[in-house]
Amino acid sequence: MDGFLKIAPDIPHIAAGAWITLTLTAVAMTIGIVSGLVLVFVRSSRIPILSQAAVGWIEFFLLTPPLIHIIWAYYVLPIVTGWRLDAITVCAIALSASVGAHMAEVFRAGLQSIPKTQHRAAEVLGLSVIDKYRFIILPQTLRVILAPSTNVLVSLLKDTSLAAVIGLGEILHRAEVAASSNFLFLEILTFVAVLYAALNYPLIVLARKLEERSRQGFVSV
Amino acid sequence: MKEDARKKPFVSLRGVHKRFGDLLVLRGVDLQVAQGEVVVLIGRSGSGKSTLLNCVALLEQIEAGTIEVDGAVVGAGPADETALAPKTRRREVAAEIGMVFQSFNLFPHLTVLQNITLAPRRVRGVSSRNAEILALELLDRVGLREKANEYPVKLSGGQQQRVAIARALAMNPKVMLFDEVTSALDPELVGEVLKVMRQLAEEGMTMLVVTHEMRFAREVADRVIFMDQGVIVEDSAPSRIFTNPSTDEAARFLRVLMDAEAVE
Ligand SMILES: Nc1ncnc2c1ncn2[C@@H]1O[C@H](COP(=O)(O)OP(=O)(O)OP(=O)(O)O)[C@@H](O)[C@H]1O
Ligand SMILES: [Mg+2]
Repeated sequence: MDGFLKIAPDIPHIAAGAWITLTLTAVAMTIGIVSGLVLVFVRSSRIPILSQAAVGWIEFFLLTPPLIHIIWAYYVLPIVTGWRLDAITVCAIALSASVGAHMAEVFRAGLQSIPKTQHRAAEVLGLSVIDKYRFIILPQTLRVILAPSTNVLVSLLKDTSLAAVIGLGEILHRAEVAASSNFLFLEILTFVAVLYAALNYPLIVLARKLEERSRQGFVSV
Repeated sequence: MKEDARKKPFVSLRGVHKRFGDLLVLRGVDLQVAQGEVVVLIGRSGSGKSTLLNCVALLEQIEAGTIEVDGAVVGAGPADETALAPKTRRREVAAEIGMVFQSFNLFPHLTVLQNITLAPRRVRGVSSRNAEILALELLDRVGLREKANEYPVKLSGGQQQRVAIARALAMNPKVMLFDEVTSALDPELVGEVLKVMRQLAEEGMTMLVVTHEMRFAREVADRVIFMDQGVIVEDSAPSRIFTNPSTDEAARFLRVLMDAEAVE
């Protein structure tokens, strides 16, 4: 118990890293959602090159770990291109790319879950393509994707800790720095785990609520 | 004058061909339907009945032939494309073809009232107020006014199907297409839907109906059409096709249907 009292002076500094964690999460989620939308749109293109490029991009970021992208962009990119990006930019780009690929999959699954008969019913009433999506397809898709999107958000918040490897001062990096000077690794890392859990808990609760609602909201017949 | 209108074909299909990949589903369908006529389509599963209705509803693009509704060529294969009415006219006519499906297909996230008012508002630019007045009138007609603010999931199959009919009627269609609209219903709910269709027929609606309800065909249809492997093989008055079908296929198919009905 002693150790936990001894880390008290480090807590404010580590907890303040949550701002960077949350900012990075917000930025990557926003860019990820937008790029996910663009990717599904391009993927459904009738021009084969475009749709194949989108598929390739999505698969690459689904199949490879974001840690590799961060390290690659931070250490390798400057050698190859001569550009040096600062740590937070590198993390924002790498995590956005990963979130974009995951969100593209969420959107695609959501759109595909709407039965073809809903499209036909809308078309036969004479609705334009835009109106069909705006009033019939997208509102139903939104309900379906809310829960999986929140899950992506929860993973993202945890993945921001990868930024520690390139020395970005978010929660984990600050914790590592503190621990390496007072050697209270167990206590400090336990505190960090609790902090992540506290940040994520409301999101998990939200995801469960949304899932519940989309299950009982309506059964599509 | 009225006689003339009745004789002129209102829906007219000539040499309609439709394929899905290698499968030729419609192989030259010719069909003329006069205004106010009720035509029942029967035929084995896979004979192309749904495909035919989907082509008339412009949900499918045809490969050859022409489809005309109220004097406008709305569908044509590449070879007959020059006959096509201008796009805006085609879209207008398309909105005037109502279709009801086996699986109801109400919009689950919208109330009954919203299901009915959406298309008149968005496609025809009717004001919300007027669209609602019209929708409530239609709900009265199908006996569901008290369900206006319910979501579809709260309705029985028969009620959902009646809402689907009201939704199609809200576009003031010139033709109504019904694709096995009672097949997914529990037997005790079939009657309420057929009653609405009967009433529509009596009011003079032009109707193309795919159904296995032989009583409905006998009592309501002006003509019964038997389809086999993508072509129309028999087209006669119900009194004739039921007593004295001219093809063996039709005779065999009808015998099976009648036996099934007798068992029920
Ligand atoms: N979108 C599609 N893609 C590929 N094949 C299709 C498609 N729609 C229908 N078919 C095929 O076309 C043929 C005719 O189908 P259709 O649904 O028109 O038959 P049907 O007479 O309505 O049969 P049922 O009585 O079972 O409803 C079938 O062999 C079917 O498998
Ligand atoms: Mg069918």
